[in-house]
Amino acid sequence: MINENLKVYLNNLFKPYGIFNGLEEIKSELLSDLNEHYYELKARGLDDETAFQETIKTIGDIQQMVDEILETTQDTYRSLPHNFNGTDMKNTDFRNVKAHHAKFNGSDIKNCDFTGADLTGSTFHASDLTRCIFDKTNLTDVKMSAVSLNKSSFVNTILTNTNMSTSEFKAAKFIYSQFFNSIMHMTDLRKAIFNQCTFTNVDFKYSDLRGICFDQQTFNGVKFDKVVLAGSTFKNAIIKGCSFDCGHTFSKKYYRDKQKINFDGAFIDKITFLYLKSYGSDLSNVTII
Amino acid sequence: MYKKNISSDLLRGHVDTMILRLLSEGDKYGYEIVKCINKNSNSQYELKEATMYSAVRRLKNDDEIDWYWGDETQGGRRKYYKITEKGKNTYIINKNNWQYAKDILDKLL
Repeated sequence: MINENLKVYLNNLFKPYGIFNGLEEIKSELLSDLNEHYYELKARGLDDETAFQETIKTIGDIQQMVDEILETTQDTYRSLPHNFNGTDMKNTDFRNVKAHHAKFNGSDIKNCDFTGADLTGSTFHASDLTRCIFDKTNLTDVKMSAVSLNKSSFVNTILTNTNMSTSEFKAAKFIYSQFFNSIMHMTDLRKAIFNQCTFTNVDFKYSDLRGICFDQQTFNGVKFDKVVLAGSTFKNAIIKGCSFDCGHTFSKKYYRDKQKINFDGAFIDKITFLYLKSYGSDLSNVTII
Repeated sequence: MYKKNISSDLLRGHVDTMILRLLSEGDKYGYEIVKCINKNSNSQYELKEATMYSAVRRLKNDDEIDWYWGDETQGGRRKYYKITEKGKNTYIINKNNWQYAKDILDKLL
C-alpha cells in the first residue's frame, strides 16, 4: 500500500521531466530508499501520514539530479515524445522544460507555468489551459486548437507556425510576442490584450477581434478575412500587405464592420489602403507608405 | 535556520568527497549512504536523496565509483556502490586540498 503511494508520488514528481534514459532506474532506487525510510519511521512509532510526509521530505530538489542524469547519459534533453493526454496536470510547474512533440490533448492544464519552456511541435487539442503562463515559451509548430486559453499570458512568446484555431483567448495577454505564419482561424479574442507584438503572415480568418487595441503594432501580410473588427483600434500601427476580405455575403455585416475601426495615425501600404477605402473605413488620418 | 542553510551550501560542495570517504570504508547502497552521513554528522547534516544520487551519478560517470547488484533474497535487489582505485586517489587528493584550504581559512577568517 505505502509502496503504491510512494510510487504514485514519484511518478507525479517526475512527470514534468518527461521520459529520459535512466528515469526508471532512478525512480526504482528512490522508491526502495523511501520504502526503507518509511518503515524506519513507522518502527519509531510515527503514524502513517506523518511517516509519509517525513519520508517524501528526504527526496529534496530533483531538478539538479535530473540535469545531472541527462548530462551523464548524454541524452538529448527530454526529447522523447511525452504523452500527457487526458491527464489532470493542473498547477504543474513546467518552467524551462524542453518537451518536443509532447501531447497534452483533452487534459486539464489550468494554472500551469510554462515559462521559458521549449514546446516545439507539441499539441494541446481540446484542453483547458486557462490562466497558463507561456512567457518566453517557444511554441513553434505547436497546435493549440479548440482549447481554452482565457486569462493566459504570452509575454515574449515565440509563435512561429503556431496553430491556435478555434480557441478562446478571453482576457489573455500578448506582450512583445512574435506571431509568424501563425494560424488563428475562428478564434475568440474578445478582451484579449496585445501590446508591442509583431504579426507576420498571420491568418485571423473568421475570428472575433472586436474592441481590441492593436495600436503601434506591426502587421505584415496578415489576413483579417471575414473577421469582426468593430471597435478595434490600429492607431499608429504599421499595416502592410494585409487583407480584410468581406466575402460575397448578401449581408453587409463585414462591410459595416470595417467602418468601425480606428486607423488614426496608422501607416498603410497603398493596396491595403484602397481595399479599406472601398469598404468605407475612415482613413482620414492615415499615411500611405 | 539561516545559519543552517549557509552551512549546508558550504557542505554541499563536498558531498562527492563525503561519499568517496564512506565507500572507502565499505560498499553501500543509496539509502545507506544517506543514513551514514546523517549518523556520522550527529544529524547535523541531512543529505537529501536527490543530492546523493546527483553525486553518485557524477562519480560513476567519472569512474570514481562503480556499482553492482546485491544478492538480496527478499524484496527488490539493491544497487551497491563501490569505490574504484581512481576514486581512492581522488579522495586522498580532495582531503589534502581541504586540509590545505582549511589551514588558510583558519588564518584568514
